[in-house]
Amino acid sequence: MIPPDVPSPSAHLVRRAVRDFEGMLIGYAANLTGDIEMARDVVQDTLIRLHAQDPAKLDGPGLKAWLFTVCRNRALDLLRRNRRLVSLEDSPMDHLPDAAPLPDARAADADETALVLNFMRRLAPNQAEVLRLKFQNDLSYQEIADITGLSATNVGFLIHTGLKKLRILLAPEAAACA
Amino acid sequence: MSLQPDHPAFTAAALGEAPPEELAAFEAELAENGDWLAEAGTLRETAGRLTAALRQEMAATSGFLTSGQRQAVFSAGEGLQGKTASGTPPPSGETPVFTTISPATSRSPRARRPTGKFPARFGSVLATAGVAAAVALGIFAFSGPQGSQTQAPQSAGGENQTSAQAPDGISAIALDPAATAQKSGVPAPGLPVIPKKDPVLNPGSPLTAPPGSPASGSIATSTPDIRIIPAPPARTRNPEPAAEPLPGPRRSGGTPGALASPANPGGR
Repeated sequence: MIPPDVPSPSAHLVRRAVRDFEGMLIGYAANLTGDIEMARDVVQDTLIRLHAQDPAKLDGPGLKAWLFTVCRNRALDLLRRNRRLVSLEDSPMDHLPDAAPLPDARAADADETALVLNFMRRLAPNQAEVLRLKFQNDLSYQEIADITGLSATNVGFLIHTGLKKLRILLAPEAAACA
Repeated sequence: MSLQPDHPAFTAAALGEAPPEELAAFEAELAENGDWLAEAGTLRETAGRLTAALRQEMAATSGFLTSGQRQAVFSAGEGLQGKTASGTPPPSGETPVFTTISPATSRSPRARRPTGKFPARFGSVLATAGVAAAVALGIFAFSGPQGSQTQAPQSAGGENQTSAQAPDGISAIALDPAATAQKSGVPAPGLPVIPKKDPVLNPGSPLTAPPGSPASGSIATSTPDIRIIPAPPARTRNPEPAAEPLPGPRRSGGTPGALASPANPGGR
């Protein structure tokens, strides 16, 4: 899939980005746009833009934050352009075809996943986004701040309050009522 | 430490977001403070459940670029290397501005569907050729008994089959001179003549049909019977055509299954 010979540092950077962050970026963009095809377009555009970047500047931990920043900006730009309203009640996971029957263990995991994701939709959009960036994409507070344009303190506050709310919702008695 | 459990800094430290020296102090405090330890444990458990759920969601939803999109990503670098949208190399540290890249570029052009005109024409030509071949075969079949196909079998006179043999050793379709002879009324050479109206020896012959029945008029047709005959066992070929039909297979102590012939009288 990836060309074996990469002649330039820029192409090497793109190759690394595709190898390490392609799926992560598509998942992130899919959550922003609610459309997996649009998410692929966004990620493709993001990776094409990477060609023009200075490889020496991004060939390190900064690459991930740069990719998520451009991906986020591009997705929001497309959403504004297309005037699409994405509801947090509508997750791209809802549109996936049903998988094959799962064994009991996997079914239990699926139930747990559905429960947590259901509670995630009750959070404020900015809370849900920073939680995704933190726990789904393993970004630091500072990287999340760089990506979202928030301060690191604000990111910490959103994560703190988001986790606190989820913790209440996921308590056994609350989960049983859900 | 001045942290309180219900504080964002406590959550950050529990998630490992504090500087290393603060993290060391935080862990030391956890070892001494049971409330902190329980609070941090609950936070980490919630974070773990959230991480697992989000990773599972990502595995289900993320997917990959299509092959066309990936090819577009890799090939885009050939035209964009070191250039901005204006075509000049970007200054160090400056992000080039792209104005012409749109998501629509990832859409692969829809493959053109075949029009179907050529196959239709080709099919009509094939149909015409098939009809012509069928007509030619019919003419050949009807004219066969009056031509060379009426010749007696040359290799084995007692067999009711010609020597027509496929190249691969399988007799495909052979004319049955006996049946042909019965229909045409001309006995085949070397074959016993069966009375036409013998109901025992010739029960299925249309000649035995009572006069006036529809089958009684079919004597006018001399259509040869066409049978699919399995390949006969290997036999010794006669290098010279026999002037007369040979007698039936004769086994006189020679090779089992070998047929007698002038060149091989004993069937060896």
